[in-house]
Amino acid sequence: MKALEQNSTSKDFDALLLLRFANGEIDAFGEIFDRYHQSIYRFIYFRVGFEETAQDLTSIVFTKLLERISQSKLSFIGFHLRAYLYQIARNVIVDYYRSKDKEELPLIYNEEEVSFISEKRLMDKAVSSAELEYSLKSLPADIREVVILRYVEGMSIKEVAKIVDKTPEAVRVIIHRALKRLQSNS
Amino acid sequence: MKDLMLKKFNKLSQTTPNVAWSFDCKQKLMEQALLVAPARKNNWFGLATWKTEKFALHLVSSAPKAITALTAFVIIIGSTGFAAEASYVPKKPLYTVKQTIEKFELMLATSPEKESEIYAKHMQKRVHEVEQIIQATNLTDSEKEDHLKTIFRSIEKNASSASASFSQAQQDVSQDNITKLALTISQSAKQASNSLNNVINNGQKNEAKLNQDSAATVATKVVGVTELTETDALLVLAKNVDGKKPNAPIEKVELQNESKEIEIALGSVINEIVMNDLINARLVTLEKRINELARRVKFEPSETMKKVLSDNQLEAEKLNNFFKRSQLIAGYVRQAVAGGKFSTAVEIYNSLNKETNDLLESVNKMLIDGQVQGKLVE
Repeated sequence: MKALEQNSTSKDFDALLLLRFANGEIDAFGEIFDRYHQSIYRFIYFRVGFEETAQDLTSIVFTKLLERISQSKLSFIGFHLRAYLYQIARNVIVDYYRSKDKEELPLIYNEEEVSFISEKRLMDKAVSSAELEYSLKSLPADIREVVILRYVEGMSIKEVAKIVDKTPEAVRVIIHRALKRLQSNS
Repeated sequence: MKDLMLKKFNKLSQTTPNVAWSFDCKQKLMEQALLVAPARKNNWFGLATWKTEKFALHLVSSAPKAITALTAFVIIIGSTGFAAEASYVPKKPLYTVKQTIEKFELMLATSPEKESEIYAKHMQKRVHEVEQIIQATNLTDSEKEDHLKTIFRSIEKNASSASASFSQAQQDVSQDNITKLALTISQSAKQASNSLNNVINNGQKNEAKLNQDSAATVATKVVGVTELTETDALLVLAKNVDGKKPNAPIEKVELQNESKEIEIALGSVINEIVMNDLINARLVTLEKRINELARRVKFEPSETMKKVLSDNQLEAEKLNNFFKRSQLIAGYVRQAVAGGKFSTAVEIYNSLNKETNDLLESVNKMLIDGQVQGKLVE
């Protein structure tokens, strides 16, 4: 488990990167990309199920971030870049499903996608984690994202609550139920 | 069971995108960033702002609270006996607080004009600190060297930032205000240059002690920046008197909404330009430096020195050409002053100054490398 609790040092570092960018240092944006693109990609991938789609949506997330930070005059004191990126990613996923004119159903209902993913994943991962991935994708979208943020990305309950716009108590309940469901599936 | 599941989640967290995609995506984003990124400000501004924000974050969650906390801290510490010494010795807690307050001052600057003025003020404070450190009796020589180096680097930051903000301010501030600002910057930078030159001259007397890390070596690098800052400001002042008859004092300098003191100070600097003294005095100092350069390279090089010479591609011929050319350029500067083309004179002087500083830095490096690695034969 990635026990990466977002702490003030990390937030300071992000604030420095944003300030450097605001002062015209282009490389600072590259550093932001290096720092967060993998976790944003993972978050999207486990929501949409396709590598190519996840890649496209990840690049959209960073393009949107670029637009916002180059236009706005945000104060970077207390600014939480990581949470902000996940919030953009959530909106991008919603837009994606809207544009596709389909509901974001649990991916298990999408037979074609599921068989593709499980076959592909089985080739390079232990069967147990592929099974878990399969089970994870059987969860409804809103529950799945909470589980991904908490256990795959190792965020604190408080941080997850901030991103999904729910109270920490509600997040705790969702996680408890999701784990029960995953245990009974596996 | 739950632990086992969490371990499996850990494996999922290793899912990563394709490396080639990551690379391509980053490249494309960087190209976009190049188009939309805000105009680059100077590094020091960004760094100062960040440090200030970071301090505020560290201390309390909002800037007003941080300012209140800082003020309280200064009052408490300032009332102790350590205050006097700590106010000019870097690394002392009160000095750090003083720097932080200065950063807040910069953060509150509302325009490049104001920002430039603050940098000039900070530069003056540093000059005062240099004097206090040199005269301090409770510091050892090596402590003094250390503190001086820190302060010189700070002067360098202030001078380059003042210069950057000044050039920004020139685009959107009225002529009167720019003239006044140019006066402030030229005076602060001149004081800084004088102070640095004193340390350099003392260092040259004791050449055996000259090394990469000595205060005199650092000062040699920094004086180039302060002199350029000064002449950038002088250029603006000189434009006011272009075409005036040399050696004929200016009777009156009037600025709207300005105090008599400022008008008198401005008149004095402009008169210095018109009366030939200022540019020529600068030129004489520069020529001295060029002669010092010539003296240094006349040292017969040891084997190590020869190697360093070839590594730096600093051939004797190139140096000789520079010495000849510098005499010619100095002649042009004098001609321009005599013809009342004061701003042209400052511009030519500036380019000569830049070239001299670059060359002096190379020669210093060469000499230092030679001393460190081998023997320098006179």
